[in-house]
Amino acid sequence: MRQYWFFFVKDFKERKWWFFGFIFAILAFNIWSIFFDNVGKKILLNIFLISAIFVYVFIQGINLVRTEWRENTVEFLLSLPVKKYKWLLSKFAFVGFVSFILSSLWYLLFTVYALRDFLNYHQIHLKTSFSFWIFWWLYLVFSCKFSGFLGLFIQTISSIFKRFGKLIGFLSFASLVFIFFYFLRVLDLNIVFHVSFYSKKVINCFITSCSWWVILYIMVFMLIFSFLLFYLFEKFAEL
Amino acid sequence: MNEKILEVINLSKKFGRKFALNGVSFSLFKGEIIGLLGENGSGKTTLLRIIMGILKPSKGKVMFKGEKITEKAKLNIFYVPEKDIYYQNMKVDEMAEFLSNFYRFDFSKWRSLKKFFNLNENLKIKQLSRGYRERLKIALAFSCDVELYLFDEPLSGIDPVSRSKILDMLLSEFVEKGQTILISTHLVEEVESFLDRVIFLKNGEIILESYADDLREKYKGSILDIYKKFFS
Repeated sequence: MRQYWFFFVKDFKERKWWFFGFIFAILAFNIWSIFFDNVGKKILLNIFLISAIFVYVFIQGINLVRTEWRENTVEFLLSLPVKKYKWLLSKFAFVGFVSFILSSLWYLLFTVYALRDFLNYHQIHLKTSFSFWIFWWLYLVFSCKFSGFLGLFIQTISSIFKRFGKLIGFLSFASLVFIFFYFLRVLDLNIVFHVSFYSKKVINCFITSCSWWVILYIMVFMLIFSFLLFYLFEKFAEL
Repeated sequence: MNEKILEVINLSKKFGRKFALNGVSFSLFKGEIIGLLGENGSGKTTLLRIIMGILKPSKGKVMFKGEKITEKAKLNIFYVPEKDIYYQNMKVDEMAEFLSNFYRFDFSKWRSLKKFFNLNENLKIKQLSRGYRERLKIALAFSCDVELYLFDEPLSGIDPVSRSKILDMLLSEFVEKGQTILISTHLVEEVESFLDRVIFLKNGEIILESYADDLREKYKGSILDIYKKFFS
């Protein structure tokens, strides 16, 4: 386990800007989705997005291994007193772990905020029937789904940029953003929305509580939090 | 000098139809410095890679202290290839720290070696010149407390004036008693005074294996002269 951690830290340090890019993507997507959401049930799309995280983790893991080949460092890795599968698995674990943690982190803050409002509202019957077990289960499922979506999106965009250059890359980015959001605006991305059990009342109370300043507040908080997290991570790695 | 550290038994490696190594057998004993000498393409690097478990042999086996090369055995073997194998974005000290997670790493030795090689710890590896990257590889290797070092052309990037000086200092100051070193090189002149034993490799086969002093006496000349005789 210790060795997995060292490989993980090494990969993480090398990709810190990728990590912050991820944070921005999460923020942008969530802010956008708040204003276009409704309670549609796109089950197939949801399944597709959950499976996308595995596809993403696989592709990115392979990419990390390819980078080691390209930079000749694979010879160094193979010469280390570590079983080959360990460092190979650590690459996949790195991608999966970072993407999942980031998206769940975002969900957590967002949901806590939403729940705070929900619990302050006066729908007593909703409060009494609220199951935290279901809530956390849904939280996990939708964190996975969100990671999958972002992973797939970033993977597609970066591949287009690499293959076709800046202009086509940017145009593809713009059109993909439009297509994704066109389909996803009906795909409820916030956990509270998914608790259809509580129906529209919850959603209404949530939506009405979301004003611009709240979103800005969350955004700034998230950024500070991410930087702090990253700083702690780096410090921890130095120990 | 008598404890057998490494045993290479009838080792062959084929790439397609071509034999890179063919029936290579030899042993390394504790505390020896052995020169693996041969031209380009003679199979030196392939042999070192197989010893390290990076390549699988087509035939034969390698034993370290009577056991197959596993992760446990690798704890006592340090391989320094010719290529730049370290993470270019890491700083000099970061690389040492990274290695210390896997080997018994002597940090006081590392500090002395850094000073000896004049390595700037604040620079990233990619910011170092080729010569300094070679020095870094050697410094990192000798900071790891292992029983066997495998060097593949360790001096190729270092200027000719410094080579002998570096080797001399390294072997007298930093190599512990009982550590075995296998150096693959074609810079015979620089290393010959340090070698206890030499192995000449040609077209994947051992054409000569002997103690350096015996060879000098037998052929009445330096190892370089004998090398020239065999390879010209």
